Amino acid sequence: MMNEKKYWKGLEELNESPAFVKARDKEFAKEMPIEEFLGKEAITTSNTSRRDFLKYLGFTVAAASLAACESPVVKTIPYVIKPEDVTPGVNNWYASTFFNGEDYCSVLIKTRDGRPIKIEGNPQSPVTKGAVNARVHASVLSLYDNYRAKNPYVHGGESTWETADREIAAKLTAAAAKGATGNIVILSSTIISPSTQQIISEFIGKYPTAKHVMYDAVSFSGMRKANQTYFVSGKPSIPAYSFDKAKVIVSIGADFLTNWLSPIEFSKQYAEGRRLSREKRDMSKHIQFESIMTVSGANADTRIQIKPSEEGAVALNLYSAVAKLTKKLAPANSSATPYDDQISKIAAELVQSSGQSLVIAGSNDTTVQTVVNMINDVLGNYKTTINVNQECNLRQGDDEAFASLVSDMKAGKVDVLITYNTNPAYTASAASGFNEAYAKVPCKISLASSVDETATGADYICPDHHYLESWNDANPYTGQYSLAQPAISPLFCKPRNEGTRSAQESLLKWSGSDVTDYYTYLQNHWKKNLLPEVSDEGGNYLYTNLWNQTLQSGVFEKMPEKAAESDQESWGHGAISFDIPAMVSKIASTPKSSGYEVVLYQKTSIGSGIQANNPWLQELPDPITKVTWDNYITMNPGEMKEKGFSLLEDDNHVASVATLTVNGSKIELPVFPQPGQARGTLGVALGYGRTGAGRVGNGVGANAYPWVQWNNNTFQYNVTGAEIASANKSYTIGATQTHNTMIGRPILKEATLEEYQKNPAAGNEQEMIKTVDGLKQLKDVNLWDDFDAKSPVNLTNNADNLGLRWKMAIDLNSCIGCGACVVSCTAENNVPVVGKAEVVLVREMHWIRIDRYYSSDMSWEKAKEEGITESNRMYDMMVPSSDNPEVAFQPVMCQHCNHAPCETVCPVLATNHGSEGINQMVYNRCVGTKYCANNCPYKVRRFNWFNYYRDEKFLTVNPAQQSNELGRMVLNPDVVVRSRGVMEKCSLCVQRIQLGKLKAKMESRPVKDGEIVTACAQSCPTNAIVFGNVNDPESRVATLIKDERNYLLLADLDTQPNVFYMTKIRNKDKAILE
Amino acid sequence: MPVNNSPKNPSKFFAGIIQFYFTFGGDLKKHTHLLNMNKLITKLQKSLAAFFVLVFTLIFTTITYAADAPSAASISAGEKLFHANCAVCHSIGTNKITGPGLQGVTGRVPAPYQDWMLKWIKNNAALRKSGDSYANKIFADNNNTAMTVFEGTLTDDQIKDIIAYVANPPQEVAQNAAGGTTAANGNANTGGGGNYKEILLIVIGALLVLIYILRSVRKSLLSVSNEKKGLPATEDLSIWKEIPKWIRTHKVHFAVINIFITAVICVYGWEYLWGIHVDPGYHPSQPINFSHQVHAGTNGIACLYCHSGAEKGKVAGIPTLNVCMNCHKGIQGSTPEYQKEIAKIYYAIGWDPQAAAYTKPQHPVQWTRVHSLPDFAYFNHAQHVVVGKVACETCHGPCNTYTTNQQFSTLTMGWCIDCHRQTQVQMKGNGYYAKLHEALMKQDSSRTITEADMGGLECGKCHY
Repeated sequence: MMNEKKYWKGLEELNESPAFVKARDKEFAKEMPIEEFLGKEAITTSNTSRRDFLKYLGFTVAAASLAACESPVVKTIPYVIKPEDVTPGVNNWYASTFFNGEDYCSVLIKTRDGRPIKIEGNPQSPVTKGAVNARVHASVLSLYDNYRAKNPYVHGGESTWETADREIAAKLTAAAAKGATGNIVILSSTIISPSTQQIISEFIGKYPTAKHVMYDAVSFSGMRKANQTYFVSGKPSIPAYSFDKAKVIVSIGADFLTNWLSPIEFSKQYAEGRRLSREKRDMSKHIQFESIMTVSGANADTRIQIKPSEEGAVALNLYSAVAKLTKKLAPANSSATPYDDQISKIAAELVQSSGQSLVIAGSNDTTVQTVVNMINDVLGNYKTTINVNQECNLRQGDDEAFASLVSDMKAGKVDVLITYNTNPAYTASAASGFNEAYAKVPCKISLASSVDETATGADYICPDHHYLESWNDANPYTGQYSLAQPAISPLFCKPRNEGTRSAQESLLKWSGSDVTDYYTYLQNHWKKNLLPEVSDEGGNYLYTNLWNQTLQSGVFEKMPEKAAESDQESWGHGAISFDIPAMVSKIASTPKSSGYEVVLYQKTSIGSGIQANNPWLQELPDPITKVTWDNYITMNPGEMKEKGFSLLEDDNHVASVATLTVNGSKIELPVFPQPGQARGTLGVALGYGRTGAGRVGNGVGANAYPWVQWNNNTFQYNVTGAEIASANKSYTIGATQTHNTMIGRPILKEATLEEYQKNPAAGNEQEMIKTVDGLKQLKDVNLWDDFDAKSPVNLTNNADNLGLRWKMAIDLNSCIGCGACVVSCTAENNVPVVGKAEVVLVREMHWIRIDRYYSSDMSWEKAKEEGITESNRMYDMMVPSSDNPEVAFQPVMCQHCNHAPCETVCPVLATNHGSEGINQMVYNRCVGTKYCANNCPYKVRRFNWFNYYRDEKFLTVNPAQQSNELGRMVLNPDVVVRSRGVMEKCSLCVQRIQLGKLKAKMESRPVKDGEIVTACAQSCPTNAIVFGNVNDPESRVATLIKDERNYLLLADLDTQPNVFYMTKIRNKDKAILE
Repeated sequence: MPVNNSPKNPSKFFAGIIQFYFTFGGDLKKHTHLLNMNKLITKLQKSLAAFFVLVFTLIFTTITYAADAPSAASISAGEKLFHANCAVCHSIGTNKITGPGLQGVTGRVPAPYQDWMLKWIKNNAALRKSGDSYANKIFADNNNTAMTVFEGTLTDDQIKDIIAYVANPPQEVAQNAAGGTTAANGNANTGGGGNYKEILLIVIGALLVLIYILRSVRKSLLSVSNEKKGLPATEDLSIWKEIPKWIRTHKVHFAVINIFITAVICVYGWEYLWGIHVDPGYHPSQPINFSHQVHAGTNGIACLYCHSGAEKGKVAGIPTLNVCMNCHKGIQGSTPEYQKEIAKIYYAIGWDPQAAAYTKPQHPVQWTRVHSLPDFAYFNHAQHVVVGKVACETCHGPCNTYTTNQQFSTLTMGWCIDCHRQTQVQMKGNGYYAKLHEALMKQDSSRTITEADMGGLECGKCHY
């Protein structure tokens, strides 16, 4: 719930009473108490005369200056015994695995002097192929979270492991002695670690009454159940999807680029299917049906707005249309939807690409998922784009099992509940009644790593390590394994604290296992079950070699023969008959409300709320709304106007607050206008409003989990029957981009695929400049000739092509706007977190931003036709008038102009040009005049208003950036922590360039292409950013610069940036929309 | 001792002194014309002038002397010879190795030092036998350790070169060896040397005394003349009252003095500010009394044996104690002093020398950092040591002579830049530069490419 006082001073402000207005206009809200300390009486009675005061002042100044002249004595403490593989000042990389119960990612961890400081994707992984997302990047900061539990807690007090273990073992033994099956329960999120699963089964072996229940905050239970009946295997499963093989992708409400199933993997695949080059001039077509504007919807070629309750009907009608065309299965006799025309056209497209298409749905409803299976079946996609034999082990949560557990708990049948890596006290819906049931369990044990909502109510908290401190393994897909290894010793350890202990070790200990060390256990498990029995010539089993190889690459493949190739026969549905009329009636009975329908979605940054205490993620602007630090109600702007809500059209970021009522439960949230949101629908993000996240995440936004509904034996995130009413309040929102269109300028260039195939330079026409002599080419109208002639650096190109010339290509066709680059840049360059209050003042510090543009119907010409006055035209163009705008993302960082406007205005030469093309920023020379920022046409320079790393003010927004010994550990020592009062900006990761060059020099060879990449380029899951030396003809960037799609941002200014963009191509099919 | 650091602009400060003289001289004349004692005054003025002439001569002599110093070629030849032949036993500073430190040796030995030293170096035994008292004294002072006879090994010219070098050691060495000279006079970039400032201070002091004496003289003369003329005695003003009075009547003079004083303060202030946090010669005491002279000097251990990080990355690294133990497991110290220091290593690493096992708790050593670059400057050792092939001594000086490690260079940006301007890039044989090297050689094979030519002066190369 939002705190009213925080944002409102009082009613007088709201009503603008005359007294308030008078006071408001004064410099100080209250009269200064000058008389108190400068009145005649005060002066005469004072013991300090003016002379004394001046003396003290002088003395203080002199003393301070003298003290400043003294060189500080710095201590330095080397290792007593140096670890073999650690050289101070040299980075080490370790392969590991990120899995937080939801997203899976094979990663590389950069450690410096023993501290993990950066995470990158592991290119060797066949699953994620080097991709990462913002959440994975940010996870390194969570390691240094001071809110992590540092001790075991027993009954609310800090305790020791001995006490906790003794008491827990006694409780478990007593419960097991009862003999009541299911009275000991391990409740966890999805576990994909084979060793952990083995440990849990051993635990159940020791306590036979125990059982294991998996529960996901955002469930895929409906899909698993649909597949259980559909696939021949007869067990709940999810197959593997290949978005790169699909020519037509239809998604019904599934945001597969940021949240659905395995978004990191899918975004990589998706981008590969849509990449254009001189050799490949074709891309996949993506059609999205959805209610709210998701990242996937924003990237779709065709986006059709539906109400959430219509998902089933759309799927069914699509099935019927496809079935009619293919005549393979009987069409369903379903009711019409307003989109049937479009659906039949889409069906035709799908049928045309039979076997090369993919239909997915985000719904957690079994029926909808079954219909989608039928569509894919009819289209023959199970042979190609969907591999049933390779099962996806992610999202194994079982809603029914969870529901029955809760009712068992309510009935007092559960004696011991162990929660591991799950937080149902926060995420479970009100309908499930988990919280009352939880209170009834006599012994609650939490294996959480911080004192979250569930742990708060637990009798025992046995804190787990962070994943960067622990050993683990993962099996995300059939045959795909990866290892996680510790990159640092546990931070909280004896003797200072009792410390953390890996959850697996806790379970091993309680099971009374012989092996209580998880590392040994893991190795034994791999030796026994996974690693092949390879022997050398002498017949010695090469276990150590294999283990080390696996550990080094991080991944291991052991594919069962069956899984390698999908074979239709092996899963065929032939034996199962579908009761289509029953499905039709089930879908027809989906509750439709008279009021609003609410979609409970996940934001790209916070997701389900696990990492809510991570300031890097909280400050990451949402790809679509560009809002930081909050959740809110998204609503169609047209409807907002009707309701009289603020459209946030002016720059003051003030939104109206509304009360949203669902089934009698209310929350107050600001309303945010979302172009492209279906009318009659609202969107609210999950993952906010936490109370046990920690200093950063607590109280940010409101919790929408209680609204999750229970329907058809699964949790539903589409909620009906909502009422929205104004709360007569306003709320300031911290959004980083306040305008939505390009205001008529060619900032982002785009073309349709059809146009592109005819002319690769489509949409990228040469701009002409109007002069008194008529239209002229850009190169003929140049203010910089004199500058170029005098410049010591050859700006256009190195004449002999010998030196290095860095360029960056950004393919707007591949960028999905996910924000991974933003967090990666934050981690690499020690970018401070500033908090919402500063974001509102437009003082965010991100060196890279992703601009999101809505294509508006309004153009200069159209505005003229409609008779909009000159003064209003600009404004009207800024408001996307279209109900269903097209969206485009454009990452913008310092463009490193060769004709840099910033360089010419710096009075102290703090910003200047390097011979390799980089616009350099020298912080120690900068005096903070901000002239450069004013003169930058791209607005990429950030002024450092505060000592973010010292100022108490920023303690709550980012405790990790304070000068405590824990938080400072995440800083990259190769990049200086900027002080207050300097301008900062993207340096093209010059520290990486210098390090890469040094490596090449030391190895006596030229720099290899792809060896030196910026943090953003390395982190881009879709490879939209390519960085390299353009003077190397073999480099990727040299190839891209020859592509007809390349253009410069605001080329008419002739700033000649070293960053260039590639036009966005939309595979638009006008026929579908008409 | 000759002045090696001639002041930046001596004419300026002489002009100042002359101005000062005329100010007060003129003043004296004005007040005493009443009296029939012009002659006396003129005499006084003359003697004053003589005094200044003396001062100037002194200063000029020293400067001229410096100008007469041996040629640079001779010194640099001498440096090489010195390192090859003498450095094993003699330091150029004050510290004794086997033989005495040679700083100031030219002043110690019997004059003219060139002749005496030539004789001594050629054949010190012969010189001692000849009954030279100083030669015998030196021999006795150094535990009767005989110095090598160089007759036949070195030519007279070579010995003269060595003498030239010893008489004109490199500035930094001279200063460092003096033992932690203060920041104010240590900065090579500002060109400041200590000596001319001291002279200036003495001159100013002398002038003040002179002014005081002359004032008393004038006063008594005035009272005598007044008495003679029957005029009433002038009011006997104290000096504090007279100064304001003088200021009121001599506004131009006062302004000139003021400008002079302000200029002096500015010069001193400027140089002082440049010297803040510039600490060549900084040699803090360390928790373990480690001597580079014993390890790198006497025992000749290679720098990279301990500072292995210098070849690999950013920091050279303070060796960890396990590196010490490679040798000190066996070497436990020959004297109680050494034993005490080596015991500190054992304590820190938890080594039990009796049991010869690492059984005790560890106690990490808190060294005091000597070289400390600010955060905003990025420096990488590997870049310089491996790629640039720069010798450790170039920046760190003759560490093998330091008993307590010290900062040798100023580590200022000017110092970095100077080196980058002069140092040639080690292109040959490095595949990284292969293409560039080939192209440049084609253009002009005699061409030299310095770091600066390769962009080594660009801000973004070190500041990020």
